[in-house]
Order: sequence, then C-alpha cells, then structure tokens
Amino acid sequence: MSPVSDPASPDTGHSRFQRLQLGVVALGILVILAFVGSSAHDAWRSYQYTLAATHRELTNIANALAEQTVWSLQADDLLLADTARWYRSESQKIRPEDLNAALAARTSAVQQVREVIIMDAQGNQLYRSRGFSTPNHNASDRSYFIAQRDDPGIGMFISEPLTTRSEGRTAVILSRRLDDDQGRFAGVVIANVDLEELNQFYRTVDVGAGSAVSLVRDDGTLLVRNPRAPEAVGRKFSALSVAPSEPLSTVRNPIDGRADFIAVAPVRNTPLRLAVTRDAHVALQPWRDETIRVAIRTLIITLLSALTLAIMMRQIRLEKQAQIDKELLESQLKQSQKMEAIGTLAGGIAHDFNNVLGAILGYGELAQQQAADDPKLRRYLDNVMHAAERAKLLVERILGFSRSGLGDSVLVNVQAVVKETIELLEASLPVGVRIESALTAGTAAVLGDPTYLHQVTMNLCTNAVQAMHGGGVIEVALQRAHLSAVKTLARGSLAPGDYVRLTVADSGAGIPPAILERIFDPFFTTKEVGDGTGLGLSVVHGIVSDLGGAIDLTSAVGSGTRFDIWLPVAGEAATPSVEPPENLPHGKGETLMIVDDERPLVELAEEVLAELGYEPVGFVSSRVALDAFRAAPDRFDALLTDESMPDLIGTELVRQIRSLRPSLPTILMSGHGDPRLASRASEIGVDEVLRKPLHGRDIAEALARLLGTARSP
Amino acid sequence: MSAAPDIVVYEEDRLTRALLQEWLGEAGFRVRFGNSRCAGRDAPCDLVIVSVYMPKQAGADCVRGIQAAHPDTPVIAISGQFRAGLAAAGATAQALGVRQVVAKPLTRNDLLESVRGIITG
Repeated sequence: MSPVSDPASPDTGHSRFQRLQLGVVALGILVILAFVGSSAHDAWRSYQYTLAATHRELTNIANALAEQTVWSLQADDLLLADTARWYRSESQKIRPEDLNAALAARTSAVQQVREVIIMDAQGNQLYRSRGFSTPNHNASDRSYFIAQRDDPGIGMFISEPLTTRSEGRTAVILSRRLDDDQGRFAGVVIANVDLEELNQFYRTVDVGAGSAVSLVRDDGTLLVRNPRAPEAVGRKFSALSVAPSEPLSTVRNPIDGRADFIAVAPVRNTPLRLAVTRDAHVALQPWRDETIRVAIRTLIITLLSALTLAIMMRQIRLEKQAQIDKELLESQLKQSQKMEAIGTLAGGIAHDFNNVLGAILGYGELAQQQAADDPKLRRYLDNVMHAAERAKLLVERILGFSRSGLGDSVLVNVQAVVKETIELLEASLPVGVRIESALTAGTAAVLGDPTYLHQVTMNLCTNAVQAMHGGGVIEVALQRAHLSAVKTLARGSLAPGDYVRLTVADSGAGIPPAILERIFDPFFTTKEVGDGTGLGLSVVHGIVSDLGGAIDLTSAVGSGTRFDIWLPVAGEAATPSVEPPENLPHGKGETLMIVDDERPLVELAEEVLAELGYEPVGFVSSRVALDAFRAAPDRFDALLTDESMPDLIGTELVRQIRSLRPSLPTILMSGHGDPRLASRASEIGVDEVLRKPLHGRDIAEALARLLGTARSP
Repeated sequence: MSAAPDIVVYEEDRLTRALLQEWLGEAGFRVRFGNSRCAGRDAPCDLVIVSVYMPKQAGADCVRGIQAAHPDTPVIAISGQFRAGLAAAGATAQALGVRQVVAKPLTRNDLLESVRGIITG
C-alpha cells in the first residue's frame, strides 16, 4: 500500500494497464485460435481435395483402361466372329489338313491370342491354330462350351481363368458359337487368351504407388491383376465388381486385406469390369505429409505468438511498475516538498519567535529585577515570564519536526535506546496489550541525539498502543540491514549502504488509506481533542529525515499498522551496561503525586514507583493535580512533575503547590537539558531535576534522598 | 584586563540587539554592531557574536564570512533554530566552526556565562 497523492488518477492508470493486458491476451489468443483454426480448415480441405483427386484419378484410369480393354477384346472378338463366318463358308473348300494352318495364319494377326480352336457340337477339338502337337481333349464340360451350347444368343462368352488341358497354361477362353445351315448348334470357336499377355498390357500402364488394376467378370471373378496375384486369379471378389455407393469411401480390398479407394469401370460390350484400387494409406500420404508440415508451421507460429504475447505482457508489467514507481516518487517528492516547506516555515517561525521571546524574557527579567519591591508588579511580570516560557516550549516542539533545527550529534547505540524505551513503556501498558521485541542490531550506532532517537521509539510505540483498543500485540524489531541498491520507501528513499531498521507493528485498527498520507503532517491527529498534540508522527518524520533515514509504512484497516524506520549506520557504539535493579532503594508506602500530560508515562511512573514500595497517584493534567492537592494538601509526601505540559507548566505547578506546602519534596522531570530550567527550578525550590527519559534508578535514588532527608531531620 | 573588551555583534533583530547591548554593556563590555550582509575587514575585537538564520543551510556560509572578517577571533553563534539541550561547545559548535553556540531565546545568564568563559578563559 503506498500513499498516493490523488487516489483517483493512479487507479484509472492501473485499470488502464489492466485493460491493456486483457486486450493483449485476448488478441494473442484470438490470433493463435485463428492460426490453428485456419490450419485445421486447410487440413480438412486438403483431405477432401485429396480424396476427390484420388477418386478422379482412379476413375479416369479405370475408364481409360476399360476402353483399352474394349479395344483389345474387340480385336479378339472380331477374330472369333470372322473365323466362325469363315469356317462356315470356307471349311468345305479347304482341305482339312490345311485348316490348322489357315487358323494359325488368322491367329497370328492378334497378338494376345495364343491359339484358336474349333470344336464340334460334342466338344471335341476339330482344328487348332497351333496344330495337334499336344493331346486332343474334350471340352464339353467347360463353362464356355456349355454356355454357347445352351444359349444361342449369348454372343461372345468369356470364361473364368482356367488351366488349358492341352498345354496346362492358365488362360481365359473367349468363345463364339458355330451354327450349321439350319441354325443348329454345330460347335464353338474359342480363342485362348494368355493371362500373361493380358497382364503384359496392364503392366505397361503406371497407375501410381499402392495402386492395382483388376479385370473382373461381372460376377466378380478375377481374371487379371496387376501387380500380379496368381493365387487370387479365378476367385470371386464381389467387392471389386461394384463401385461403392459413397464415391470417396474406402473398401476393404479382399486380395491384400487393406483399405483401398476404388474406381470400377465397365468394359463396354463385354461382361467384364475394370477396377482400379489404391491403398488409402498411400493415397493419403501426401496429404499427411502436408498436414504435418502445416501442423509444425502452426505450432511454430503459435509459439512465436505466445512468445510475443509474453514479451508484451512483460513490457506492460514493467511499464505498469514504472508508472507505480513514478507515482510513488512523485508522491514522495510532493510529500518531501511539503515537509520541506513546513520545515522552512517552522524554522522561520522558531527564528522569529525566539527573537520575540528572547526580548520578552530578557526585558521581563530586567523588569523583574527592577520590580523587586513591588509584589504586585512582580507577580504580573512573573506571569508574563511563565507565558513566555510556555511559548518557548511550543517553539521547541515545532522545531522538533522541522528539519531546520540544529542539534548535537553523537554516536548512539540504537538498540540501547530502543530497549530502554520498551522497558519504560512495558510497565505502563494497558491491560491486554503487550510488546514483543526482537532486537538484534547489536552495537550498530547512528549519528544523532539520543533524546530524539528515544522520542522516535516512544512516539511510535505510544501511537501503536493508542491504535489498539481492547488489547493486542505490538511487535518491535530492530535489526541490521544492508542495501545494495537504492530503495524507495513510502517516505523517502535510501542510498545503498548499511542501515538499522526499527519496526513497530501493531495489531490495531489500521489507518484508512485516505488519511495515510497525512499522518506525518504536523497537527494532524485522529485523537480526541486534548488527547495528543498531533505532533508525534511529524516529530518522528522530522527526526528520521534529519538522521538521514526514511520511513516505510504499511497499514490495512482492521489488521494493523507497521512502521519501518530505516536509519543509516554511522559506526558502532557499545551498549551501556545495565545495572542490576535489585539494589535500588525502596520506599515505605509514601504517597507520591505524579503529574505528566502523557498518560503512558504517568502509568509507567506509577508502575515503577509502586514496585519500589511507594503509593503513587497519577495525574495527566496539572490543573487537576493542583485541585487535588488543594483538596488534600497533607495527603502527599512528594511531588514528581513533568515540566512541559499544556496549560500549567511544571515549574508553575511546583510554585503554586509550594505556596501551599513550602517543604514538600519536589522532583521536576524534563525532556530538555536546558540549563535555564535548572536555575529556574532551583529558584522556586525544586529539590531535584531529572532529565527524561527517566531511569528507575534515578527516580529511586532521588526519592530516597529526598524522603530520607525529609524523614530524618 | 587593561580596557573593556570589544564585542562585535551581528544581529538583525532590533529588540535582540537592544537586549544584547543592555546585558553586555551592563556587564562591562564594549559593544558595537556589524552588518552581516557586508561583513568587511573590521577593526580587531575580542569576541564576535553572530545570530544565525538557518544554521543548516545559508547560515553556515554567513558564519564563515564573518569569521573571515574577524580572523583569529572567537565566535559565539546564537540561533533560534538550535535545538534545546544543546551543549555550548558541543558537536553543533564544531560543525559550525565556532567556539560556542547559545540557543535563542537567550537568557542573560547563559549568554554572559558563555561570553565570560571565552574572554577571561
């Protein structure tokens, strides 16, 4: 929580950065999503395109090959049909022994036909283009014979692949019927088409990787396949004879069992179909490669976008931090200028007022000397002097928070001062409030006035006590700290170096942010009127600044406030040895009047004195104390009073009480070692002047001295 | 002490000047006033009292200027901006480079004590 000069403007600044950050993140995510989305879309489109292209290609190949097949089979059929006609009309004219040769001559014109055979109506081979070098066989049980015999209108019949009986070769038999003059079945003419020859033709066509060409009959019987699959030839594969209903779907290829794309084209005028298949995995390989490339590209772009995003976010964060720092610095500058101005003002006031007061006190004193014989005039002048003394105290306090004041500086062991202050405070803490201290600064010393250092600790702790209504813990810590870089705190910044850090944290009400920046202002107070001067924290600020230190302040309403006072270490000073308290002189139940306008100090004194065996009665107002004394002048055995109090200062109180009981032992306590105070005090008959901060030993010994002498005349 | 010691006072406040004249004259010193704005080389004297405004800033330069005008002469600095509890010849006096410091508002005893301490000592 940093004090901010104008709560509205930094907020809008921060929310602007937040909006910027959100915008950048949103934009980045959008860009990444757009990339990923477009890549996914591309992949999908590419997939569809690949399927379509594959289908188109396969269909084109199938159609082209089917057309080629048509042409080559047409040549075969032409041979058969022509031979049938020729045989009917010419066979009688040619000598039977020349017929074989005539057949051979015809057959040689068609390359893929290995042999043409003419059979009679019983299936006996009559003539063969290759002659009868191999044994004659009856073919009446062959499918082609039966088909021609039983169906006069069948035309050309293409058999399943079969093994020829004469040569034992695998072949497909093309057949046509022979009729006699009456149109009766007179036999068949067949062309033995070598599968190897047929295959040779398909082999010349490159149909692409993973692809196969299959020539099947309408019933699915495989006649030819390239690449070759001898074991599959002759078997029926219905999947190869029909194109799938979904043109881009795959079929399970029955031959190799793989998922294939397929295109089927009918071979015109024949009971054949041509199927072109392509392995789906192979067909999609280019698409897969492309998709992987796209995915990698997308990944790289996404990573780059994310990186850019991260860099931008970092930049924004840095700028935000810079903005915060700048605001903090500006607010600090403003604050320090304000304090500087107040300090200058206070210094000027002190200067002028001290001149004025000097004149009043100086001439007043001279006048007092002249008025020695006139009691009335003397009293008037006394009052003038007292009024001026009070004004002087006020000016001293104002000088306390202004940095223009100049005081003596010595090496002060911070820990000793803090420890002493805590001990002083602990005795007078309200019920439920306790101090937990952790002091580890050792001999670290700062260059300054121990009284002022004491005042810093005292003011902070007193503030903490007052912040905690209903109890709590005040944590006081003192430790060494080393700064290797410039550190900016809520109030002031620190150069690198060695520091002692005094932390005073309470668990009290906390300070609302609205007043956080004003709490160091002089005369700013949240306390009830009369409860404090409003100078406490401004004095702390003035002193800390004067010591070259800085203040950090964090506060949250409801959970407490924490002050960190950083003071530069100027050297080392040994801790003054603490005397054991057991040999302090004790009282015998004497009633003591304690007067101090600071309640914690009154309570502390009561505590300490009660422990020493006295009966202390505390007052926080010198007026009330005076009234109480008037009411029962003999009740008290001694008076301990602070000097600087509002309304009625200590010496004046002493003067008035002394007028009631001139012999009352009196101790005056003062925060200032002002030599004039001592002379003024002795003038009105004060027995002892003790300098604050008070030590139990000093009080005990002073009281023992005074009451001892009082008791033993 | 053959003749009354000479004291030069640099003080701009009229009332304070009059008061110093009163106190010091009554105590047997010869007092004359200088102008701190144009402290030129002056006739030798036994003591200089200078009022310092803003002893932490411009005041220190002012003191040096006056010391230059009165070489080898002890100086007492008085200021309304010295904090209470100051030791007369303590760290502040050393910092300013003067013999003693006295905080305002002045009292006759303090001042005369300081002056006598220097002149007779």
